[in-house]
Amino acid sequence: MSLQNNILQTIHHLRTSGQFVLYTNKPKVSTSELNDLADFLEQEYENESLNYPFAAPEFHKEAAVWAAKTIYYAAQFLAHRMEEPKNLGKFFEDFKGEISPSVILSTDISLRFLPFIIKELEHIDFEDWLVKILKKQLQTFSYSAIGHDMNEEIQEEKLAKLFQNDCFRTLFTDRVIAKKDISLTAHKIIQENVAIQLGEHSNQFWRAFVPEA
Amino acid sequence: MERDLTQGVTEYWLRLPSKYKEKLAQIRVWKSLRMSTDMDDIWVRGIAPSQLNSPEIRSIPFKKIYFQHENALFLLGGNLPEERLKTSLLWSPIHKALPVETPEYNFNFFELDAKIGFNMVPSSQERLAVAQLIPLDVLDEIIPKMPAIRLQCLNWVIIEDKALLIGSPLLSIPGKTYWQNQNFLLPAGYDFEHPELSTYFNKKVNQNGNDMIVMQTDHSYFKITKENIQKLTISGYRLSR
Repeated sequence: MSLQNNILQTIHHLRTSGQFVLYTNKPKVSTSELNDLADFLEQEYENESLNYPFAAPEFHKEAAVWAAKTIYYAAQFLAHRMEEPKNLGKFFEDFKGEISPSVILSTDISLRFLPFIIKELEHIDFEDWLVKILKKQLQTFSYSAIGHDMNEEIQEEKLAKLFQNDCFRTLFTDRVIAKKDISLTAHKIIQENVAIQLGEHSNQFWRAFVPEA
Repeated sequence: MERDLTQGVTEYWLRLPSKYKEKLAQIRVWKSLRMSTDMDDIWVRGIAPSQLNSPEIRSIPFKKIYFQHENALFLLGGNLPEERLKTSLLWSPIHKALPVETPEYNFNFFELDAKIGFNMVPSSQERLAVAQLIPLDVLDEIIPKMPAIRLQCLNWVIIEDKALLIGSPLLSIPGKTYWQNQNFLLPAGYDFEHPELSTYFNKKVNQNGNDMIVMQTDHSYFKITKENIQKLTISGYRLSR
């Protein structure tokens, strides 16, 4: 058992300085490490949710830890890996559980760094298996991919259901506006919400955005 | 056929006996004019054709207007040269050649302790409101529901049971709005009675420039230290309440 909690270190570095260290080519995580990690993530979520509009959804521990693990493996595998492509699947399992605003916001604590890692991987090898696996994960969590040109598919019915949560709807729209992700406004539901948030000031805040009459 | 000599003239000369010097006061503000003195006469040149027929020039008595053609000066409307071109004159800008003298001190003036009020008057000139005073219980309902984009351009400070939001565009909620003039926030619809004194007032009230001065409609004012004005965020608002 090592004294160093590599996964916690990685996530902590990412959250505080936007950097991470490559520790090993055979990443492993223990339960106690994950418990410490969960505490850290919960703390981070609580700090961040102070700034969330309306009532922030509950922290979802499993989802947050799952996302942190995904990021950790993706980061460690970035430069150096022993595994065969077909074996990568065991590190990157899909999230088993219902997708709710609480799950999406808890995973975003870590997953927001995933697009950067994917871009780095594509830079090294465009055909990498890992890219395909990670992109597939990001499909479900499109909130974390806003503004990164990941060509994520938006399923409007699912989004409409998630948008019933005021907090998530406002945060999602906020991020679309902040990143000026104009391609997303092609979807009617996003377009409508952006138009509502910008109100009569759309010309001043976001010139490229044209609300539909 | 005889050619009109005034064609193509770009400047006219004006000649005036020196004793009528004061009559030039009204054209002194035209910075393009230059002036020189020759014996008992004053010469002014640089008068544009468009200025020639202005009331300011026409109302100067005892003047003679000349125009220049080749090396001679012709009287306006005349066909024969009147004077040789003045080449030896020293020209200086008219506002330097005619300095303004302050009137002599009035020893019979007893209003020395008169004071100018620091007042505001209703103004018809419309300006953009940049600050808004809103009761906190109204904001409690609104701030946590605001999209981030509307808050990020705003700064705020708490004043007793109200909050002053500063920035543009402001939130679309009712509240007292203010215009900005230097470090002053004036109630919308008002301006200083003597705007030219506002710099002086600012210096007097706000010596090191660290404060914003919020004027009230009852002619009172209060000051806010600029350091206390913070960015408006939902978390900041929640922690302040």
